[in-house]
Amino acid sequence: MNKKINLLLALLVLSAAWISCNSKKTDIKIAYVRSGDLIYKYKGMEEATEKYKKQAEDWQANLEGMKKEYEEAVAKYNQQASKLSLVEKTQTEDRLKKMEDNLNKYYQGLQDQAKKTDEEMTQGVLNQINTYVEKYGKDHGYMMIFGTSNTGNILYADSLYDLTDTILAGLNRNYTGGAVTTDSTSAK
Amino acid sequence: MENSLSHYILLLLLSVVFLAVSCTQKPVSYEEYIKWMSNPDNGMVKTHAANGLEVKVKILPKEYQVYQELKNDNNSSPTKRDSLLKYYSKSLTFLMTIGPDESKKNAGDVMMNGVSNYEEFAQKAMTMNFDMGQYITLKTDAGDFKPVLANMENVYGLSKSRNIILVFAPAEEKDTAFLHSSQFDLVYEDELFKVGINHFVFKTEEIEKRPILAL
Repeated sequence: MNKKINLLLALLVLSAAWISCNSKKTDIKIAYVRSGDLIYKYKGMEEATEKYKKQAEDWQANLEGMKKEYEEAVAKYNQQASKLSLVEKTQTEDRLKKMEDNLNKYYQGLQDQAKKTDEEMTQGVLNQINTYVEKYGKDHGYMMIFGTSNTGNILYADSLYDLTDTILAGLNRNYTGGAVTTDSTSAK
Repeated sequence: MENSLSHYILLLLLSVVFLAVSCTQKPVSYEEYIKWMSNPDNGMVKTHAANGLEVKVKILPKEYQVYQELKNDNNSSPTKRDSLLKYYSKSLTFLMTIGPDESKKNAGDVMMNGVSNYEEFAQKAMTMNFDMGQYITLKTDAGDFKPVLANMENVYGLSKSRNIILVFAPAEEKDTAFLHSSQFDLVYEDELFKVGINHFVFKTEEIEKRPILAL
């Protein structure tokens, strides 16, 4: 019986020693990035935004064209309305109604398309950033990299743990250069 | 006096010959060539990763294409080889591979990425087969070029990745300025995999350092 207790005690002592040794070895390496700065100063975001703006301008130009065509048709009808027969009036009003419906449909479709494009574009950029941050964290032995935002949970963190500039520089270098590396030359 | 001058000239000539011989690259085997080309440090392969996917672009030089074309040709000859080299020197070819990020577990077929129904799958397959060119631009010192060929290889479900061959050529044969650009920035403006806009920049000085392939 005593032997068993001794063995159990020895095991407990060994386990405690093992746990204490391992917990000392585990350095918690954490850092944070300012999410807003990282996203909006990233060249990938700048280029994607520029592309979206150009696309939106094209859509707007198409919409303006259709709107102008409709307004001209309405103005022409208003000028000639008194000279038109009842049948001609009905036909023209039907045509104008169709034009107005098409314009509204196009406008609605455009809004949906713009929203979808914007979401997909932003998601593409965020995926690039997330993948880079994940790789950076793994390569440099971080357990966690937090992202701060105005509505986030981190209320205070020493700027010593701020990786925004380092990660942003690496992200931009990869974006314009090609090879995916998480170069640590400027890492803290 | 005359003797020493001719002696110097001879020495100079010998030095030049020695330098020329020592500086001439020896052709390498196909295996060595591929090994060199596949090393990302040599600048012939560029990779970007996002959304669990990897987009890799490799430049395929003219000699590589000639090798591929002649390797099973029983009637190859130096004339044919030179003719093919001349033919392929008028265009630029890249191989784009879109596949799962190998570092991720349970990576699936790239065609299924982000697809929730058959209609979406069919649409993606249609675009990748016939319309990838719309998302790709080659930016050079001589301007921007769209691919004249963007062809997806059929893998018959045997691979999780997809290869797309991209060929760029000037509108007119004589207009070869883009071939002499200091760099080639292949831009993939993705709208299929949520991987964003990707730049794959190949520098001419790096491309020119490639070994000579024994043909």
